[in-house]
Amino acid sequence: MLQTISWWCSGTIGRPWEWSYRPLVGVYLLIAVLGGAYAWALRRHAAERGGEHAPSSRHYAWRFGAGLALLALSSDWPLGPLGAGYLAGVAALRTLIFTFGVAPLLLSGIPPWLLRRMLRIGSDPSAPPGLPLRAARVVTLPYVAFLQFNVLLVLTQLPVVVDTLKITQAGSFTLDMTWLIASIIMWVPVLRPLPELRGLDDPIRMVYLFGLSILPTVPASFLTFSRFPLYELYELAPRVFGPLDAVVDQQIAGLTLKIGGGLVIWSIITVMFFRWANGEQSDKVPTLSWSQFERDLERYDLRQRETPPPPS
Amino acid sequence: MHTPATPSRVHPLVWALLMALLAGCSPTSTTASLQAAEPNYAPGWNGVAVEGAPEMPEGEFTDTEGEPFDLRAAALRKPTLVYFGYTHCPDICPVHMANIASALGDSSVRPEQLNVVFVTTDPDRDTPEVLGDYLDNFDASFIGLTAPQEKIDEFVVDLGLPEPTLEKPSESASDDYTVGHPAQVLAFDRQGRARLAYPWGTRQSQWVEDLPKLVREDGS
Repeated sequence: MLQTISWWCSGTIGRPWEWSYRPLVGVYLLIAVLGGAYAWALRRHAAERGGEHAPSSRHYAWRFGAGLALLALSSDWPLGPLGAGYLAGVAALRTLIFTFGVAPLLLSGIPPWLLRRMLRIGSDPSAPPGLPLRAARVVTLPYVAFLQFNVLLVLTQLPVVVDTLKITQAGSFTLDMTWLIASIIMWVPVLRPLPELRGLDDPIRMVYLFGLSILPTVPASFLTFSRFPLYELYELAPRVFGPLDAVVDQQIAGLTLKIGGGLVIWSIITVMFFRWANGEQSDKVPTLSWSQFERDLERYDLRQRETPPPPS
Repeated sequence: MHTPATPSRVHPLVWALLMALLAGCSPTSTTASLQAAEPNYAPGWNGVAVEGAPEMPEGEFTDTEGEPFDLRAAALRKPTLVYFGYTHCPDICPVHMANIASALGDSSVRPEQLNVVFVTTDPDRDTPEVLGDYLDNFDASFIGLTAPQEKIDEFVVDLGLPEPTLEKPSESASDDYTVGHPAQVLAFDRQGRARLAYPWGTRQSQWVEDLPKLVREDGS
């Protein structure tokens, strides 16, 4: 049993795939560390408020929890090890889950007050921004976020990178975390988690997302139309599904990246477009739900707490 | 009044992420390296020159139709790739077979110009029918051969390769066992001599480069 325990999923050259559970300690630890730190931050925040949770805390916690659950699902057995060492198609599926599931859920699950603390933003708007906020402002500039995401997309799909890094647990972990962080940064201009970080207006958000659906075509095309398997790792991996050819597996990976990613992005653009168009054409006075009002109070840091009476 | 966040401290969530990242970067890898020692390739080839170029031994085999098959005679008619493996092989055999099949489909070599022979090292389980079904998954032109275990062992050793070994967990174990067998594909010329050995790890692109040369050099 102990021999089958690993830190993180990685390519295991020559080891036949087995449909039996293999514990990946790093996945549990990462989820525990992130989840624990998040829960601790919520409790501390509630304690500062006299034991009372912010009204929208549950809303954010659900999203963060869903992001962690998706991170565990895509990194744990079987998807993690299958993608890291056996099937390029599953690796592409994991990339999609990280990009369009884990990253936006984690980002939108962090309450603004917590994000402000992480970026060391004080309550004095006239104070000069600290290094974390200045760095965050640079990397989340829309064109920087767009560029870093696409450059990393191409880099992390290069055969030399995949064949070198994915065969070790540390390398595979680094690749996964790099991609997760790049995806979170990519989502900032779209999700606009804080007024202090520059977001995009609705029409520009759609253009931004449209751009994100175009550039992945390049690596996806190489994968789909290549005559030979590009990755030594997947070409020489023991077969999982009978005689599934490495080229076919690679084509599945390319199509997953292109069609799967495209479908998700275009669905988001469609929803965004109709919401925006409805808002533009509507003569109605915009209405605001109470929960949205609560979230906006937190987002713009406008909530005022009642000061407890001084002890007599 | 709203209590301002303390701006001088890094939030524990940031520390947590950093700690997790650092832990992941520690050298805990126990996995094998993909980059094995670089084989000593024969100049201009993706295979390794076989020392002494041993001749194809005499041997009586049975093909997937249950008919006798003279491998030596077949090798004297056209260049021949020979691989010793077994159909229950979980790792190397299907990769070799799939890569050769894909390369054949991708190169200018026609199946009638080259023999691709799979000799089982596990005749107990690999009946002619099982062998035929297995090889048809890759390429219907592949030739599957079987013989009594001791004949196969003798044939393998005559070629200077290590003798196949049955690795049963116990003597009474049923069909759940593995077989140790040579990992390389031997390429025989039309004189029936093993000229090149293609180690495990030979890629499709390398086969596509070499297959036409094997046929051309041998046929010219």
